[in-house]
Amino acid sequence: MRPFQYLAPIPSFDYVAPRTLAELFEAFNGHGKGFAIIAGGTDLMVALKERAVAPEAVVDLCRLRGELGGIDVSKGVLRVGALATFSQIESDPLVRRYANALRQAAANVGTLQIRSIATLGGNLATASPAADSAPPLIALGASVTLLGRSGQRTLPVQSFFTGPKKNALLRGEIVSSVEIPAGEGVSSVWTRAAVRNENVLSTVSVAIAASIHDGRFGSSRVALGAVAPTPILAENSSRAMTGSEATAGQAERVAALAAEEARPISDIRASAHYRKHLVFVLTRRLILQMVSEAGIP
Amino acid sequence: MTAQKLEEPIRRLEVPRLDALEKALGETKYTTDNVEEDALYVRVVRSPHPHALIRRIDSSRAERVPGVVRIATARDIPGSNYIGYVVQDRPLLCHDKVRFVGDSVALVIADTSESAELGVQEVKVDYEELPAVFDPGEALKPGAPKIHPGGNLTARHFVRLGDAEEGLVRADFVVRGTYSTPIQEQAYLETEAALAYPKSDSMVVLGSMQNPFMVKKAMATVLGRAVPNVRIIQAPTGGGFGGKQDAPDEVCSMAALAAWLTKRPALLAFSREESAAFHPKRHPMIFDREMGVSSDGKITAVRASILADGGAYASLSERVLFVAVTTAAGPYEIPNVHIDGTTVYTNNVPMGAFRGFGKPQASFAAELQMDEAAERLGMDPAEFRLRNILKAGSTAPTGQVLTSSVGLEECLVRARADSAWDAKRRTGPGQGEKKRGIGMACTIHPEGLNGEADAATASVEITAVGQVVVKTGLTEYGQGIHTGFVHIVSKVLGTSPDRVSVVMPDTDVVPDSGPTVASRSTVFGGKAILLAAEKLRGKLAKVASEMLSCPPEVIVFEGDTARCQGRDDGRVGFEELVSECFRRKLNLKEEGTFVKPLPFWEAGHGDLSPSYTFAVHVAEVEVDTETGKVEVVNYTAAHESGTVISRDQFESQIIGGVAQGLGYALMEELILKDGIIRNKTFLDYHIPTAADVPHIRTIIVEAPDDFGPFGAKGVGEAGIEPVAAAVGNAVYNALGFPIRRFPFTPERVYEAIEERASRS
Ligand SMILES: Cc1cc2nc3c(=O)[nH]c(=O)nc-3n(C[C@H](O)[C@H](O)[C@H](O)COP(=O)(O)OP(=O)(O)OC[C@H]3O[C@@H](n4cnc5c(N)ncnc54)[C@H](O)[C@@H]3O)c2cc1C
Repeated sequence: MRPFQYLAPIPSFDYVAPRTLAELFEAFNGHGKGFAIIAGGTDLMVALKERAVAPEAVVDLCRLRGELGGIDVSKGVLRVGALATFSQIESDPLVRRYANALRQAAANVGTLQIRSIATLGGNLATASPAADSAPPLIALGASVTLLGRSGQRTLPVQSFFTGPKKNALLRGEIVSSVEIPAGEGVSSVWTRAAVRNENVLSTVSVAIAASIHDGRFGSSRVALGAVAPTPILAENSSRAMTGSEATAGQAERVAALAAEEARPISDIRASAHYRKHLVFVLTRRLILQMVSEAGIP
Repeated sequence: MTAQKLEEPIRRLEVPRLDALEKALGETKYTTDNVEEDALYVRVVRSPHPHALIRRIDSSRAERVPGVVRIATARDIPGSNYIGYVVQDRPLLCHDKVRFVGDSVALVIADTSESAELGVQEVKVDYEELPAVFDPGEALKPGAPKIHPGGNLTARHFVRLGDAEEGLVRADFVVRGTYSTPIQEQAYLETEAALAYPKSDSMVVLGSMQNPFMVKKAMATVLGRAVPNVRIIQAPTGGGFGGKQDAPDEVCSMAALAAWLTKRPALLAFSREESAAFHPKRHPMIFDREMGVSSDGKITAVRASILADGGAYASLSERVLFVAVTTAAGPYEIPNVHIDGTTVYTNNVPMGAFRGFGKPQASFAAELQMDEAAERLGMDPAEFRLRNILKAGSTAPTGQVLTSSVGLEECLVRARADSAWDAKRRTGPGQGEKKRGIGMACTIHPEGLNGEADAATASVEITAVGQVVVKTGLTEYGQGIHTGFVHIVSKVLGTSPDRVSVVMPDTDVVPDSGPTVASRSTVFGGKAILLAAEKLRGKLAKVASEMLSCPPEVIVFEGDTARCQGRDDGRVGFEELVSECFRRKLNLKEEGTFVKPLPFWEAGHGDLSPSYTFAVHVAEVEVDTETGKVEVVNYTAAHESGTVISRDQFESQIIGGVAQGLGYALMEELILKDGIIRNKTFLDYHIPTAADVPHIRTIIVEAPDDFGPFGAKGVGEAGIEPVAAAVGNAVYNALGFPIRRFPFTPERVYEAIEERASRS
């Protein structure tokens, strides 16, 4: 008997699992252009199967959890390592405290099986317009740290995405972590709309981070997923929300601006018109939820 | 006759699912788990065009791909290239033209799947594209591209009862509407697969299938006289739902052709994408329907025309249409009925058999319109249905007077009570952005092959060591049917279920019991097995009576023994009794045959089936009116299927049917653009997850019937039939207006709400 495969097997490649960052960059060097990075593999395996990539070597980050994993807070910054899985993020108390929207999004990714291996770094690096972790990070004003042989650089998360499936990583660079300002008094929320309740691409997702003082929103950020070539910060609506009264009327106004800023396409998953409408509905709902959670009547 | 009363209902499943443990442990060997080292891989060259002439097939480059052993085209077929269940219109390999995107053109046979894949890319087919037609309405217009030599009409059927014109005129009001239904994909876990082994004068094929004897017939057609004997063995099969009713005819024939040409074992198995492109789906249908109602809430007439898109080949379109047409009026007393149905060829993927077989579509149109009429009457839809519902003695809309059990009314009454219908049914529009609604739908399901004669043969044999072996061509493909058979036999012979086994269907070993379709296996196969087992029991009783000295009529079989009724002293163990029979050289093998004669059907009316099953479902939904998302929050399914042989299996059929029906109602829709399927994989073809299915309350109404074994009727399909309609009516109740097209995806529901708002 021989094992049966529907498709011809994925063309063979070298496999390396470096133990140190030095070895990692060595491995990149050794394979010139033809390598792919693997973390959880939940996107990469699909790409390999579809022959969207055909690497000479696959470099596995799994032995670098010490350097690239972990979740901690110091000096007012919540750092989430690129190798943190959605299961870890979902159940981490620091994330719950400082980045609730990210926790909510993490808890909704795929299925239990996917969440237990899929990583935050992989979600960002894939750069899908629908990446569920992106709107919470953008709303929270997070930045992403990219690490290369010759050092590291930091970018706001929204600038990391440069197009559908395109990001700012240079060849030989990796995502090493995400830094989220760990401000007290900032609350953040996330929601999405989808055709079914689990294991499904978001039709639209929205995240908002804001503080509320004396019945008014402080600095506020509204971020949108699946409605533009990349996840985006809705700048006009964020500006309008900042400093506005925490009321239902303002929620409508901010949500309408967000819908205007959305630039969705029509495809078999949804029409542009419907996606814009969803941005309005979900944004308004999130703001009303924040208002009611802040105890404002 | 023996004294033991066999008609007593069997209440509880004492037999656990035979295949459960093995499947849970991953030990089941499906077709592709049996690939031997020397097996060749077969891949199909498929048409990229919806409609085109084949000018030339050049396989010279493909033949030179390392590892490619042979390319097969229509010319290599020793027998006939044309197969099909109703009409033999589908070429195994197209030679003159292709009729849909995915049509089979050639086979690449290679040592490895890699070589086969490369070979497929190297087969150069020179096509001349033809104008194509994708809309069933366009297909019949003069000047439409002609897909088959005889034109684009596949079949017409009609029902006539009374005078519908007159009935509509006499009505106090008439409700009218156009209802449309989507294409549903069977989405079984295991995609199609067949493994063929050539023998010196025969061909053996192991495959995933519902109907080994149909495959045998198709294969004999394709191989013709070249192979004197073909033998089909059904491998454990991971789901079918009708999709494996006729598709395996082709898959197995292709594997066999490859094996015959190369004289080596050959495997053909489909990826998910190929499976989606290839096998027949649930027909999309459009119903133009009008129903006349009197002010006291009686239906006076139904007039409807149905148009079905059958896709590129006939498959079972003609049969599916017949079922849709004959159930389109619904399970109600309607004196005047006029239904016309048409199914046409288009250049879309073929449509065919799928659990429910035309009834989920017909029920959607009929049941939604029932609620629209109830609204006009200002009457509760449950009340309106009760006024018109079929009862024992009623004349069905097909003209048949129902004489057997009709448990529809009890289903309705109990579903209404258990779902708290009267408390929950909303009469005015709801407040707020999330609105709740509750809806009801009924279904009627005729027993056995619809409008055809039906028969099943099975055998039961007792071995020298007292094992009982059941042989039937009816296949297990996830329903649990073989467990049901064990149940029946162990009940008749009074043995423990462990003694009884069911042989995996193999056409050289088992009798032809007809196809495993149409919810007929328990009824027809079960009855044939029951008859065979009763003959055996008669023989055993005779011997036991001599051993125990009491008349055979009072021998009781239970607990693996035979004893005389009313006496505690003498008993004989089953094995001892069997040994005695063997000593006497008695033949302990019996066959049973159960026949339903050709139904009477003429001039649009007749008697379709001696017996029917019924169901009433109640769905409760919450509609998010801003996003359009429909959440099904409660579900009640009441079924009358005669006597229940196994409660666990009965309920799991209903629950599975409802879950699949919720997918159909809420999210499943194969999207085609210019004949190209846009959502072939589960990324975009959404089926429900556990998170989308609420707790399903099942209600069993037992109304024993004298047709099937112990009075059982079929249950495999009824569970899916009324679901889209029940959900549709619940959404109607929540929103205050009907949406006559589904699935009720968030965007479609939102669009309907928006359109309604812009109109008012
Ligand atoms: C069934 C299923 C359901 C899914 N559901 C969702 C969902 O609900 N929401 C959602 O957003 N996504 C979903 N996904 C997509 C996927 O799971 C996520 O994008 C996931 O976060 C990817 O992480 P990974 O660790 O598996 O990445 P991998 O597959 O290992 O890598 C993904 C890509 O990123 C690169 N990469 C990985 N790590 C790094 C790094 N540290 N630095 C640089 N490059 C890197 C890889 O080279 C590759 O190109 C789903 C996928 C599947 C298969």
